[in-house]
Amino acid sequence: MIGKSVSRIMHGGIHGRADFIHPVAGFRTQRTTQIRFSGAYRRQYQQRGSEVTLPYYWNIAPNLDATISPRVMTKRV
Amino acid sequence: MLNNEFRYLEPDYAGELHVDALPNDALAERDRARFALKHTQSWANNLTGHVDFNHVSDDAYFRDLADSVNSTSLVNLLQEGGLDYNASGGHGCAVQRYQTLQDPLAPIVEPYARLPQLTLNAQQNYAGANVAFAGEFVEFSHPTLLNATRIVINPSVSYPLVNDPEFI
Repeated sequence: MIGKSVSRIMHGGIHGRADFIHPVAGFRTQRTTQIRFSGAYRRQYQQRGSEVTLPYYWNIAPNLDATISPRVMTKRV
Repeated sequence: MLNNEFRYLEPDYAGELHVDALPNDALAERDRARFALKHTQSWANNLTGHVDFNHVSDDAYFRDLADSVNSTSLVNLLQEGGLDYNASGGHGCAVQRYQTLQDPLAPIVEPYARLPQLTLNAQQNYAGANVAFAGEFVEFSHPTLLNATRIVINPSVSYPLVNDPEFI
C-alpha cells in the first residue's frame, strides 16, 4: 500500500451559506503509519473572514494518534 | 492558526493533549493560544494520579475562535491535579483551581480554589464492630473573597445485631 492514495471531493451547501469540501486522501508512509486528510471545511464569519480548516489525522501507532488542523482565517491569519 | 490534538494510551497511563496556537492575531493584535492536558496514571499498590489542566491566553479566546456554543459558553476552565490511594477505604489529595474567563458585559465572581483538598477514609472490623473514619481537610482560597479552611471528621462505630433467621 506504500504510496497508494485515494481522493474524493464532495461539495455541498446548506442554505447557500456554507461550503463543505470533503477531500479524503490517504497514503501510508510505513506499514504502521497512516496519514489522512479528513473533512476539510470552509466557513464565513464576520469577525474572522473566510475560514478554511484542513484536519490532518496521523495514526502514529495503534495506541497513539495526532490530529493536526491548520486553519486559516482571512481577517486574523 | 494551528490546532493540535495528541492522544496516547498505555497500560499505565493515558491522556490527551491539545495545543492550539494563533501567533499574531491581526484583529486582536496579540498571540492567542490554548493548552489542555488530560492525563491519568496508575502505579502499583493502588496509587493513581490525574491531571486536568486547561489554559487559554485571554478571556475572549473561545468567543473569538471556538466553533461551538459548547466552547464559547465556557467560563471556568478547570486546573486540577491529584493523587489517590485506593486501599482500606481510600485516601486522596488534590489541588483544584479555575481560570475564569470574564465577559466584560457580564462579569462573574470566580469560584474558590481548593489548595489543597485532602481526604482520608478508613474502615476496620474489630471483634464484630465496624469502625470507620471519614475525614476531609480543604483549604479554600480566593483572590478577593474570604479564605477558609474546612475540616470534616466523621468517625463511627457500628455493631450490627443480626441473627440468623430461624425456621420451623
